[in-house]
Amino acid sequence: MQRVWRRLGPALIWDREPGHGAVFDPATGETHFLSELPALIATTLDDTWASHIELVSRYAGTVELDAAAEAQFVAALTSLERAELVESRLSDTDQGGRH
Amino acid sequence: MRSSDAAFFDTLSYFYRDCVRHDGPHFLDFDIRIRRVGGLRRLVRPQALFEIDGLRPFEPQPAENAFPSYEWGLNWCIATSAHRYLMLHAGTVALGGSGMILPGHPGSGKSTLSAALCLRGARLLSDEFGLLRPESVDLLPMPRGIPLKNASIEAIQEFDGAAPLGPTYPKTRKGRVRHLRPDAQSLRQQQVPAVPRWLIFPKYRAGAAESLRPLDETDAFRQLAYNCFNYKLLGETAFRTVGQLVRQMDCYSFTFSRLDRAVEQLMALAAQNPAAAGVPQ
Repeated sequence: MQRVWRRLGPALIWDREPGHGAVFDPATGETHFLSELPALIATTLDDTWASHIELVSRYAGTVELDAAAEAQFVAALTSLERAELVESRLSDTDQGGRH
Repeated sequence: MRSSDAAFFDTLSYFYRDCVRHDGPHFLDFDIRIRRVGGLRRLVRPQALFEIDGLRPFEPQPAENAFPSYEWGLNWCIATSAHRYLMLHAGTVALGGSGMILPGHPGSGKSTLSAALCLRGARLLSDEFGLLRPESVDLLPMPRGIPLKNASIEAIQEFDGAAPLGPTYPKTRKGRVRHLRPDAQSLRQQQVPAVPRWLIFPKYRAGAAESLRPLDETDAFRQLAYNCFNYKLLGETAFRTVGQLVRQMDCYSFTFSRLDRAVEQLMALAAQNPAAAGVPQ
């Protein structure tokens, strides 16, 4: 079992270019001020479920993340979930692809 | 505006006699009535009631506080209905054609600073509402009496002994209040918008040295959105307008204690900008 993530709903609206500055969520009417990593992650998420490994590869290709980097990435995803910008669930598949 | 209270009309006339129109019927935004509460209250501790379009949104106030009740009641009318505009909780003044926005909550010094800037030649747009048209992002004037509260009254009198102040109301719900009359220039130009140029977040701190510190766009955005009455209501429009504002303005936080130095520093800031034509020296 692994946790997978996605974003449903309308596209986020960025004050400047995607991944920078304030961001508006039309689904909730909330404005967020994301730090660099959550902002970058928010630009890679779409409505398909993906693990954090798959999300890293969307942005950076095939890379090996050390434990600290992986924890940081998951923490960023968790913060996006708390802000109701993404949702997560536990998946019963181990590999990438649709869940 | 309707009332049978002669004292109230005397004060209203002191502040706004040049704004009364005698050229026929017009579309009215608000139909306001200040009337005395009836019955025993006519004789014992008389009270005045603020009515808007037949509604009574507030408790009666002591009759002698009719004028501040009217001013605060009118603020309520604007705050609850003018959502065609982005509405900032801010003092706003114009220097030449350029607007200075001073957002802040009660106690920040925005009204006192707005008053002092106007006494040194700035044009009053508003001491309470920064009203902006989202489609053009220009600042709209709404010059009215500036309510000075408690120690701010003495601060303005010390700043300018000839400041045109109305009556003192010693026992309002906000303490002691006295209003600064808007100057003739501000009233004459109340149809002339200003282009927002400076965003200054004032913080009054007794005894503090003046300190004007540039703010980065993210901080400025966050603080300006926080000081916007109808940010959530306007949604994406507010988001885009606030973003545009912080990009086009020079943004600062400003700590001050002495009015004379504060005004000097803000006027000097405005004078650095060659586009701010007509900055009073």
